[in-house]
Amino acid sequence: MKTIYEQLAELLEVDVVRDEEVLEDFESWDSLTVLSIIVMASENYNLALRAEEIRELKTIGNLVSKLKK
Amino acid sequence: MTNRFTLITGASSGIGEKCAVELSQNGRIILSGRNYDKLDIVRNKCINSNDHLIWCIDLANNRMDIFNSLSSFLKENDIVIESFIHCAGITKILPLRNFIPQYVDQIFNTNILSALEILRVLLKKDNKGSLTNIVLISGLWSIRGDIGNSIYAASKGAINSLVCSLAQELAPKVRVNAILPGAILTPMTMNLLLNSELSDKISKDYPLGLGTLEDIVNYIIFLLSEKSRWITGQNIVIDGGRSTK
Repeated sequence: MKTIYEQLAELLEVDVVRDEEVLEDFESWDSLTVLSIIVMASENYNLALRAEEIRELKTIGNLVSKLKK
Repeated sequence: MTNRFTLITGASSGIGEKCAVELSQNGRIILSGRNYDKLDIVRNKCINSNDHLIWCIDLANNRMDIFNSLSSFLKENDIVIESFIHCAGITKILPLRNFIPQYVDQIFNTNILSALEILRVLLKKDNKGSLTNIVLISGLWSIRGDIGNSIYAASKGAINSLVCSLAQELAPKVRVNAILPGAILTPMTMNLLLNSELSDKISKDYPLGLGTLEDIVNYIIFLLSEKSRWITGQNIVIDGGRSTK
């Protein structure tokens, strides 16, 4: 299976993502990306996240720790 | 004992399972799905469970095997199919831009293309004379929009169009209809409803509340009966009024 960073890079349409990068700064960061992350969290990490919870996160690092919780 | 059967795909859960258990009261059925053990559990819930057969196949990934597999299954058991109910369906909620061809293929294979392969078998000369009824489960989202559901919706929309032309092609002997269910109450959606925000939204969207499996299966039973003899080629919406919004 792809790593969490690879999956996020794919969703955000970039080659690589790093912990300190800010989610809002990605060109592809929008409500559809948030939806994709909700689906990814539920399918791969068995987590039920709400859109607001994801919107509150600031960086890739925050998102990764949320998904790995 | 009769050699005439009703074939139900997606019989291991949801509408397919409910259909199998209900229809087992009135005749012999073939339960189809990809997991033998799950199908066997459903068969054991059926009336006269020993009268019913299991045809195990993975519709999502083995589309090219369906024709031969079903043809030999019917031949080996020396049986024919009278009614075909296609309940198998999968979805993957993703924005279109994140879809990969493999997911698209799996969804289309399961939801519509597998049904075409099965129908090709049922319309060959050995079975053609026995077939009288085809019911395909579509979905409300084939005629209403929803984010993340485009591929699913497109596959179900193909079912809606198929029944129109196929009803023409097969009349008057075979009737062909599609059912478009709205949201159904299942153990899975029950959990979602514990979330009060979502439960409020649903009660607002659905004038009659969420549906149950019975609400859909009752209509399937009606379509299989002579009481619906003048209904063919239709897309029948059963959604507690959701689509009137």
